[in-house]
Amino acid sequence: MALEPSRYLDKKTWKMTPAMIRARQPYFKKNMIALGLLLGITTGVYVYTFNLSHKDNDFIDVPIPPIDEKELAVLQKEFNDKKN
Amino acid sequence: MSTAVKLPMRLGAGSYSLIQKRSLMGFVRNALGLDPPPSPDDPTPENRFHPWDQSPCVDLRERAAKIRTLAKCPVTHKDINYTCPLSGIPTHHDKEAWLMDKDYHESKRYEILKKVNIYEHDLRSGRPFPEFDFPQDQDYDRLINLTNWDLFFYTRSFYSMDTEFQLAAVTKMLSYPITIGSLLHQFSPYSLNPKGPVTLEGLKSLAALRYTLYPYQNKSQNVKVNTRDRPMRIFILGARAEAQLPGHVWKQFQYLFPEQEFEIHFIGPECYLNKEKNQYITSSTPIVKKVDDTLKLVFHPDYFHVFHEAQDFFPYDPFLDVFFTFHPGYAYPETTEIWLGETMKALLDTKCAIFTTGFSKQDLLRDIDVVKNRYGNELDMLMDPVKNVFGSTKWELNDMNPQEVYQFNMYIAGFRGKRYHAIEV
Repeated sequence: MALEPSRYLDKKTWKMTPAMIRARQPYFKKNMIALGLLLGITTGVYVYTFNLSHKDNDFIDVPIPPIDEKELAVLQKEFNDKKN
Repeated sequence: MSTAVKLPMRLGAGSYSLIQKRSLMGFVRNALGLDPPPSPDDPTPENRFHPWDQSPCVDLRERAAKIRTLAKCPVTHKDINYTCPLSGIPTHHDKEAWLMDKDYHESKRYEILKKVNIYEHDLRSGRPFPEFDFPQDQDYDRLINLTNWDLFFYTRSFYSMDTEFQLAAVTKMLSYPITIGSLLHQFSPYSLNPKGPVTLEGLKSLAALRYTLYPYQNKSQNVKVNTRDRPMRIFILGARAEAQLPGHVWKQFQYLFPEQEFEIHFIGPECYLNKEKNQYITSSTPIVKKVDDTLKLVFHPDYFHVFHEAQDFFPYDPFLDVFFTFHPGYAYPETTEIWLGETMKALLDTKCAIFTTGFSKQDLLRDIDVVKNRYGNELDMLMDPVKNVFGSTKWELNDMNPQEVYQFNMYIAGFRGKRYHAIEV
């Protein structure tokens, strides 16, 4: 019984038959409201968490070690050499 | 010999390439999610439409002729000689009368008449009727929804009835058993006043019947033994068409209450038709047709008050007996005296619930008014007149007046003989 294909799905296209769409008609509006509610809660949680976690840059308090002028010049030269 | 072999081979080769082409087309169509092209046999309002007097079916041509002889034009009050081109049914004296009939055009009655026309042609079209392949018993984990026809068919896994033609053919037949079932069932679509049509007295009667129908919901188990010592009886008075329904159609009613045994008693002089002789049988002994262990159809071809006086059905029990009258015509001049005399007295005497249906709202209201006028203070209304959720969806017309259209069991109401409280002496 459970493994039989439903009589309310089209044999070829597997779409709902008009009879099934008519039977579901009384529930369509409430189903759509429930769908909107569930999607709203999940997107709300997602957006809230995303905003919360992106509020501040976590690495701003990590000090960047100062670099020597000479060392910088060497590095820049190396970089330009590689480029050419 | 050689040609005989060659011919089928050639035919085979041709049809093979045709099938290949078709299945390729079908595959592309499927991949795009398009609907397959409709088969020419499928009923549509276009291919089922024929004016009745040029109908391919002989009996519909005869019926058109009958309308012409019996009915009168509503505008000119002369004979009917003009077939409405919109509905295909003879309705007026001539074209001018048809054009002048504003009420006919404004109320769009021709659309309903057209439905009468196409449904009748569809039944005679000889197409396959897979929708008459009814389902068997319901799994215990699947509930039945009785909100409307569509949900009933879906939850009972009937054939998927996609067109109005299939619905019309099946609902006309199932209207009788399912109307009874929808009233008695725990998920009945009719709720209590003021939200629904059922009055407080009605709820008392229905609760008594449901007490018997759902024994496992009773709190005390020993009550169960007392209420189920015989099958539940459903009396159908003035039975005509419903008495000729085959057993498997009534079995659909029993599937709604799988734990209960039923006897359906058809009472009335027209309840048993001998199909060979094509005449109604009169018999003083009941004719019993056993469908299976849980359902028995019993035919009593005489008036109800005869059996009531003979005490054939005695004792009545409001927990186990319920009465139905399908379009009885309490108010029709020809039948009103038969109904309202001894029969109605006997009916009210039983104190069991009586439900009655009508072809239209006016028809039912007239019936109820006549009963109320005569027996007003001896009866309680159980259910206010309301549209029957499980009425037939097939439109019919009255041959005497083709503009009078109706559906079987369109409206329903209920009443009962008054119960008096016990008086302490």
